[in-house]
Amino acid sequence: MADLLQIGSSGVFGHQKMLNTTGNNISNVSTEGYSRQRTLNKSQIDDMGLGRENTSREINKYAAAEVLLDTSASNNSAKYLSEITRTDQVLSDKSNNLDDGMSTLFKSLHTTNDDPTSLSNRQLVLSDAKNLINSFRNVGKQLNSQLKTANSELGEKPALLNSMVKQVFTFNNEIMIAENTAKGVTGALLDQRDNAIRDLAAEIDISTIDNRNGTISINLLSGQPLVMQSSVTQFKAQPGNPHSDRTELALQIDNNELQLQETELGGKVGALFEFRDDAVIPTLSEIGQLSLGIADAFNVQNRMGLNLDGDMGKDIYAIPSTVAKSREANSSIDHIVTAKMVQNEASELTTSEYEIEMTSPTAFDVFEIKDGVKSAALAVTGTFPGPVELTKHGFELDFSAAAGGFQAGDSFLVSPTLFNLNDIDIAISRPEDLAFASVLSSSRDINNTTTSELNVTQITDPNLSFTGNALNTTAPQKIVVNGAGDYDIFNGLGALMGTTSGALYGFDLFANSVPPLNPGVGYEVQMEGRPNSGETFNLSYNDDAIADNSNGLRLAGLENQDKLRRNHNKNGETQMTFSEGFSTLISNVGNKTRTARVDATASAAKLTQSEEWVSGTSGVSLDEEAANMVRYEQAYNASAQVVNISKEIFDTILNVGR
Amino acid sequence: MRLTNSQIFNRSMHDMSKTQNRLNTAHSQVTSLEKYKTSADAPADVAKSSYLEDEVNKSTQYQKNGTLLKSTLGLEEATLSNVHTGMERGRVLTVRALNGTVSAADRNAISIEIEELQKEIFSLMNTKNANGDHIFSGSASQKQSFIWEENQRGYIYRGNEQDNQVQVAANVYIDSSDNGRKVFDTVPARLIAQTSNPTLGISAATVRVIDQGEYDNFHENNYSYSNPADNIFKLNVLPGVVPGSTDTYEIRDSGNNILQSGNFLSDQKIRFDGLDITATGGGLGSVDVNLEPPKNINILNTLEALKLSLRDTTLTTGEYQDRIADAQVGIENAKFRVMSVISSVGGRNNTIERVSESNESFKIINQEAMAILTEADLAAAMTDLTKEQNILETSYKSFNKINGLSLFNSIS
Repeated sequence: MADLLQIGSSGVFGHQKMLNTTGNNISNVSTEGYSRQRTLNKSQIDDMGLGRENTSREINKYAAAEVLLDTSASNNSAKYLSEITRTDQVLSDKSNNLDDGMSTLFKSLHTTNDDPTSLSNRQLVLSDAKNLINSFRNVGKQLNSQLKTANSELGEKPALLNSMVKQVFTFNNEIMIAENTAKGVTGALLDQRDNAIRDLAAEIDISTIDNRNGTISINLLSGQPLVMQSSVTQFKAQPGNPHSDRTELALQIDNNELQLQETELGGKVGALFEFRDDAVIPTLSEIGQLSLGIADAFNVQNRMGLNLDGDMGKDIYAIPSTVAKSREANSSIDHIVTAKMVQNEASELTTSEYEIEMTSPTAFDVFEIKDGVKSAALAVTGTFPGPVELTKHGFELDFSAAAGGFQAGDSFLVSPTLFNLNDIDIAISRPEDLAFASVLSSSRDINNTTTSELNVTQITDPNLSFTGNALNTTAPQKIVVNGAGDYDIFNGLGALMGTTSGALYGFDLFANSVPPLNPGVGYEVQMEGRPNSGETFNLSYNDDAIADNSNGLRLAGLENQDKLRRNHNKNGETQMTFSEGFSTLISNVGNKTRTARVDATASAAKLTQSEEWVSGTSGVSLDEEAANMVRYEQAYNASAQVVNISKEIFDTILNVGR
Repeated sequence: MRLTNSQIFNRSMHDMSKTQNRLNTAHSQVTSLEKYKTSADAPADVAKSSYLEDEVNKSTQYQKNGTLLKSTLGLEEATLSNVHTGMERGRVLTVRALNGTVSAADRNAISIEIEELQKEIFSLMNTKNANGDHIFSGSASQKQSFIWEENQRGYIYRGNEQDNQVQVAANVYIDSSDNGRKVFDTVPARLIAQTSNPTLGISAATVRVIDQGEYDNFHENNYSYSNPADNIFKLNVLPGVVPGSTDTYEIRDSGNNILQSGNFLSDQKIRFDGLDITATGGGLGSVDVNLEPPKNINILNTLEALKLSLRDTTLTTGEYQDRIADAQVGIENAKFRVMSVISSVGGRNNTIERVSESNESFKIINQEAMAILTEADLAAAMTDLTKEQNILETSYKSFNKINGLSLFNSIS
């Protein structure tokens, strides 16, 4: 049976422990990740007095698990937000404004239309055209540097992740050892392991499993193991396949390498992948699509006119081609497949990626990959080795095999709208090369009795009837009103080509003629007025009209035309104007940023809530500890008094014997 | 639920930082007067506003185009007015020249004035604008509009027939010039008739237009562009039924219908729809009366012909009167053409005015819409700024109070 001394001293020692624990809590009130500890005492079962005490952390396992999940989610959205905010700022910046560059170019076109022979006006158009491309390049450069930063940050992640994983493993081992000692595991050690796991969760989505021996195993949320009982796996960064400029992550498990799917990673790492693959690269594609659309529209229109030297216009912008990326597994790394936009088809370009699979050394299939979904094989015109045109997609492919030729199974990826923006440039240097005049002019015979005029309404294809800066003699050049009031159409050699009925009010004389001449001629005319029989009208190459601005008006009119392809059908309209294209580009990123803001706010709020839940159980409240201190001190004093009393009792007994 | 120290502290910090963010936003709105800093603040509004800004820029450009066009048209109108005045003077001179009391010396004097008038109009027709471009040459403005062509002994037009257009609204294109072919060249000359092909008893014939109005009417109703054979009318002379009585004539059209008939005397004028037909001979015979195809002549050549006729002393009275009639009709038609071009220029000016006004109102509407979307309301922003300042100051004070409370202060 325990005597008073033992009872009293058990109380003193026990309460001393409790005071220590309280003091520990108070000292650690600001420690990150500290869970408050409590010393719980049981009464002696078979005797009297204070029994063994147990100091343990106050934790809520479920709250802690919730906090892990929310940490991953919140870090993911916060990181994504901070990255995409920079992209949004780059695009919204007024000094970068692509729309302004476009407006300035059209302003100078209008000014030149007023006086097409002025070389200074033309020079202004040329420099504004160059500035427009420069502003594209600037935006592209800034976005590309964001891309590079994201890639290099991803390249450094494996080192960080590996050290975190190793740290958890080390803690696991220490805890396992400590569990088997008499002292047991300290709360501080457990807290530190929990902190390490939280840090890891901030970087990547994980799930934890508590093992019976006190260790915690950690897996990626998609199932791959990170920390196991006796070993760890390590992360590796490697260049992508086939996009070697994009960093990918892999997991090294023993001797096997497991490629990680970026979409499932979560945390900060997942945010970097999302930012790179879902925000920056599509935006770069859209910018490429815009620049190609604008360049192509101007090129095609310029070719429909005559420049100041009287020659037919050429391309204003040089259109670059894109080289496809080949997969590592291909038969040779020297195979080259290039994609280039087809002239006048820029309005068909999409921002999707295309996969080219060889089914034999000369046969291949092309697929479109849109939103991650691979389409059926696309229709092509043309045969190997090209150029092979993809109808309805606006580009053509060229194949160039290395030694050994293509083999079945070789596969390539290409995005025709994702290219180095430095490669697109002005192709003309002289202001005289801008084609403001129309290729054709019409004139009336001097003795025509009415004031009817023949107007050139459209030039659809200058390649059909014009060669070498002259109108073909086989092209329709003379229109005579015959006795019946119908229009006889003659070519340059005087041969009758067709007749159009006069009852049609003079519209589209070539398309409505019998036999129809258009399509086939490449230009269309309209008779204004009602000419009398015998009146003659002539069409000729417009080489003396240097002050003509009809093609210049059409160049300026490009501002109002739908020349770009929308990526999604909007009420059946599949095309949009340049300025709509710019707005769409900026608002796409703006919308993503706005969504990211909402996400970040929501997940931060959720994290705060779970942290409060954890803190509710594990946090230190100084007031509570203060109250506890008073309580334990009282109890300690009381127990000390018990010891005192037992001493006095003993003294009394001693004194009895005297 | 337990409230721990870290929770209390974190909450206060969180709320203060949010208030500071709001304060910053209000401040930046007040200083920049823009509601949104980047597109993410309101993507749809920013996109719409950028589209509206584009429209405003376009309207401004169209206004500029319209202003330039008005000054171009102003030059053309002034030039044509001067040409018209000159032509009017020419008309007055032809009336004087037709006066029977005018002597050869007077005619000479008139011809000298006609020559000066011709030079003046020639210079006006070759007007150049401030850039050195000929305004009446169409788009071949480096070429002089009208020149004297020695081979043809006349003035020809050397420009082309293209008139440039200027865009003054999204779908409105206005001609910025009128080419010389349209304004001066395609002016109808006087309609005349000719005789030809005298057969059998008729040895010669002449025809003159006596009543131009009546003949013009007849020509308009009967001239066939598609079938030239319809323009030949036959004057058939038939011998008298009874020997000793006069011959008769009949005028038949190409369908052999008799249009007019009567007695025929050699060298006596037959009046037919404004024409005086004189045939020499008798008995059986015929002569063709041809409606001459309409021709065009420009004012310079009209004046040239007039000048030569005034100086030519070998002309008979009839020929002289015909030449003056040519000049009268030529000048009248040229004047009429110039007048209609002037009114077309006036019409274009009106269009520019109206389009200008509607452009201006579109611009204002768009600017207003832009302001509503993306410009900060100064009053609201200043109110927000003051409000957030107050909140922040209050939260600083309360932070102090709350975090200063602790049980430790009361123990011991």
